[in-house]
Amino acid sequence: MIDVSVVCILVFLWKTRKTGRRELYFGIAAILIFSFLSLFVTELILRVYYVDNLSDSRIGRKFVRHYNTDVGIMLHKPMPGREKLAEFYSNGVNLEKAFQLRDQHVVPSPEKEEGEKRIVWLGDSMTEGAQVSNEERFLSLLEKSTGQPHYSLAVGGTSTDFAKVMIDRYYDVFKPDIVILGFYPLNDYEEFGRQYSDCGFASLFEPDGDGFRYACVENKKSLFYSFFLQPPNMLFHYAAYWTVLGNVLIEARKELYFRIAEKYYYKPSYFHPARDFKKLFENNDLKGDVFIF
Amino acid sequence: MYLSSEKAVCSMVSEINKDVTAKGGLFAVVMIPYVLGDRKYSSEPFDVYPPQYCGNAFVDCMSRNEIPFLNLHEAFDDASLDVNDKNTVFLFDRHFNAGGHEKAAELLFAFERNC
Repeated sequence: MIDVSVVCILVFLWKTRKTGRRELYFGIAAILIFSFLSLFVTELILRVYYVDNLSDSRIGRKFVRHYNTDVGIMLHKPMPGREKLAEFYSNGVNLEKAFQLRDQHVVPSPEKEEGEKRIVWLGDSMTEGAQVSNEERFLSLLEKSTGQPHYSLAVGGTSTDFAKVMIDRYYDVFKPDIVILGFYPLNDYEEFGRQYSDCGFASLFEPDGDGFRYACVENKKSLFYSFFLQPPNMLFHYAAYWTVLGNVLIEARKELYFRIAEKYYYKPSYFHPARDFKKLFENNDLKGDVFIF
Repeated sequence: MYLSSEKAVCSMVSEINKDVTAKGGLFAVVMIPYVLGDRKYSSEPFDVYPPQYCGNAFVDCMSRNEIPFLNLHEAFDDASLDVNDKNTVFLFDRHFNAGGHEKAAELLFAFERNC
């Protein structure tokens, strides 16, 4: 985009070399404004449709703001919450389509071969192997080393109740000998915290005394501020990926951003698990539609 | 201490265990190490994960329900430095990293065999 802008300016200068100075400045200003607006729109589109964080699998009615440590604040659809799970569970919505499992498993034969031990893994993005290639995932490595089939029903951003829903649905499909839950507490914590704090999404989350301190981006703060202060912008992010200097700049900018953000742009709230989990789970059992809070 | 002592996770895990064992399978749980997804600035409370907060209670929960359990955090203690070093190198390789997965696979191999 910047290259195009420079070329446009050069062409414009060549074409208008005999015109007045006023027209010249006006033309350059127009090109720069147009370039800036184009960058802004491109940036916005990238943030909204950032492929790693937004996919058809994330079903929701509205966009939420999510703080990503690499690219700053993005807009994306909410992660599947408990109320959505309840919806899927009670209405029989197609989970495969809804969540788009990373692995499109072929349904295995009902008859097991001699010595075959089927292993199904449940879990979240850790087990799913987000941002790691299929070959590098521990599940793939295990499949090679053990020589036994491994099936992954793990989906990023989900908590333990999703694991239960998945194994309820798929046990009879895979008929596993072993079911393993890869438990990584983040999503459970965050699910509760989200419900409790009305945060939309926990932006910063750290221990504080007996509980955890949340820092939510205040709704009143404009998107404009958070848009320009976040580290780094998406275009910069992609451009810098291949360069060492780019990475250094990203780290520096991130450091600066956090200092500013922590001071001016976050609203602290407090979440006390021992107290607040109880509040969240009052009058709730574990079956069917009672996932709904 | 907090997480699994509450109704939420421990109960859910117990339910899965009951369902799976009733159908003739074996259910196991692995606590995934934070080093797999370590980041310097993270919204994720890596530092308060096991054993300080939820680890002990989670182990108790597994023990009460007789669920085979592996806390990969402990196994990762020695490896974490190497893994973190790798983490700092690649911009897109922070959430998970191949080095961490290799280590996890190595440790899980024995666990799966014992299951």
